[in-house]
Amino acid sequence: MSNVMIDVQDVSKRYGSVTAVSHVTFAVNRGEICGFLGPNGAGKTTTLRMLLGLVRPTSGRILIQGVDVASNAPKALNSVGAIIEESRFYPFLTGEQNLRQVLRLRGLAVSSEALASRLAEVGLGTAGKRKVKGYSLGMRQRLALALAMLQDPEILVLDEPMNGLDPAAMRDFRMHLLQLAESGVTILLSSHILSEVEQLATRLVFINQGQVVGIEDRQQGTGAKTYVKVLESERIEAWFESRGAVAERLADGAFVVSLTALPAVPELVRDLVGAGFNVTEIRPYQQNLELQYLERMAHPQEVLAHVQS
Amino acid sequence: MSNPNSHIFFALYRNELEKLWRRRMRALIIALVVIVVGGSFIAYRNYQSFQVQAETNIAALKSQIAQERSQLAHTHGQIKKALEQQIQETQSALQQMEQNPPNPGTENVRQQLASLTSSLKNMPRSQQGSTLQQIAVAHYQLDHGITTFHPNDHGGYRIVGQVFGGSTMLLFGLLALGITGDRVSSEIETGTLGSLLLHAPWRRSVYLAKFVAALTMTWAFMAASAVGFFLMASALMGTGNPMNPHAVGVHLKMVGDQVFVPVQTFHLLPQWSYDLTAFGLALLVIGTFVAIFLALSMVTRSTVFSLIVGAVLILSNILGHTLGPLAIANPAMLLPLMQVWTGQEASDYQMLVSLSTAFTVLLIWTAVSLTVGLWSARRLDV
Repeated sequence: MSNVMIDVQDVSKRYGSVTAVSHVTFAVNRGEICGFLGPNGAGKTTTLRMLLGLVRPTSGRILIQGVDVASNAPKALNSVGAIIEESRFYPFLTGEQNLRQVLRLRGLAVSSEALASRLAEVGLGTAGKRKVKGYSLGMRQRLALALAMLQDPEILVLDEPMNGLDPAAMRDFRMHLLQLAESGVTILLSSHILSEVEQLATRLVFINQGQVVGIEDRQQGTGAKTYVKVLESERIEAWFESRGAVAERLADGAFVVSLTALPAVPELVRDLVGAGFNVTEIRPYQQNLELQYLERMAHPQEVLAHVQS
Repeated sequence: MSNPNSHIFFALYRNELEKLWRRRMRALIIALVVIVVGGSFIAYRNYQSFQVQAETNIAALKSQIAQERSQLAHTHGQIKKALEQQIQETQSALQQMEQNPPNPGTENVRQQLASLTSSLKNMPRSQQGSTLQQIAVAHYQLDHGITTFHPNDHGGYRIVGQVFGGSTMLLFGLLALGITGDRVSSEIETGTLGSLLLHAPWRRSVYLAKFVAALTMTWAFMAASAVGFFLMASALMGTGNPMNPHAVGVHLKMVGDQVFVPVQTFHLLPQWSYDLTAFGLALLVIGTFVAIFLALSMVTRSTVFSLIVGAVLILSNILGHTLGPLAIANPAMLLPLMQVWTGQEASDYQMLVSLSTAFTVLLIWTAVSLTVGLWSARRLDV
């Protein structure tokens, strides 16, 4: 069985003369949490809507577990749960009635007890009888989450799922997503809240002006680069060079060094101490996501050229 | 989501009905009360003014007779004889009018039948249709013994036939527009269609479920109106006669700008059957409009635009006949479908159209609307 759960292949979408998405290609593997990042109007929502069969691609194709969404949406989306931007519900129906509509479609129990239990799970126990038009944004997101989680989906596509959630709810939501990922659920997550994505994502796809401007595997990055800070910062650069490693000096005087050309962390510490360095800090290095994001978005064409090369 | 057929369609249908009912419940109940109560009272007012008119006429005739009698004392010879003759005729007219409601009576019907039959002898065969129709009605009345009842134009039975076979159908057309015209467009405008398609990516089923749900709601409203009209009119004016005959299936012909019945090609339906048929035909024609309005809502993706275009289409019934022969293609002209069968449409608008032609026109509109709607639903980006 293939490990690729979501496979977006050279997908473009044009509205008349406007190109919303251009030749987007990326994949998400089983159990990954993939952050999908980009500024407003970058094409994130259009891409996710194409992935969910709501928008037809002009060219290219999207496979979910090997099934083409455009030609067989029901089968492709069979095990997909989703929250799309600004979750919309029927405002003239209550939370319970909205939930019942989806349960009916999924062939699940629609008894009052079942409804109450599902609403209670997302903290809407007492609000179920109220019409949705009176719900806050956060309450609507909670209801959307309840719907997305129905039938334990194998893939979750979440477009701005944390909009309107308070800090506690965001933390609960984050923990829930981590648990789901650990249990093998694949998650494609688009969010403006970079700190949340940073804590969750194992892979990042950056999109700007309709094009993918960068893909980063954060699991690899975590193991490959190490942050090293010593008191003798003026002579360590030469020491790294003598051992065939390229070290990058940071603004705080520390260095980031790739361990592929060096022994693993315990040996590195031993070698540094043995060479007379006073090590003050050593840890896995991850570039700040905000900085990374801004770098990607500032000069998209240059970054694109780099990615393509 | 393993069974995409019957289970999904039934679930979608139930959901659509629930949405329609929760959203429109209040408006539908108010519309039902307004249409039924208002319509029945309008019919009752007509019935009352008919009675008042009859009473006024009776009083006028009585006064005329009294006046003529007083003149009789002062006249002689030929003038007196002529006056006596006139008094006799006036008394006969008064006698007929005093039967309230006017009752033709077995004798009168027999006399009328004899007169019609004799007039037939001198009539060219090509013009006998109308007279043959009257003869058939007279025979029917005698055969069913309904000369002792008044074949009145009022009452519970009659009003149902009138409502579903007359211009009231414009109201039901507008009602179908109100129920159906925003079924898709409002969901696109509010963004709920995207959420719906996330859980039910069977676009054709979603569209058809919306169609069947709108049809169910509109038909249910019409059925409730039929019962309401019958009960209200019966309470106000009595039930009327369920056997009162109506000629239908009349084949008409145009000679110059005149419409006439060329041959005996009609059927007689008793009132109850006429009512049921009118109701059935009304359901059919409204079904076509539900399909048209849903397609409009799908294609325009705008509730306002869809409602405006739909309303113009319905109201084109009023001036549609000005299109000449092309008017037959306008479904709004077929709204009172019963009038097509009775020949009333032809008499009113000089628009000769048979019931089978009308069915064909409606079928084409329904098929085209559903096809366009389903095609558009497949291609819709939400």
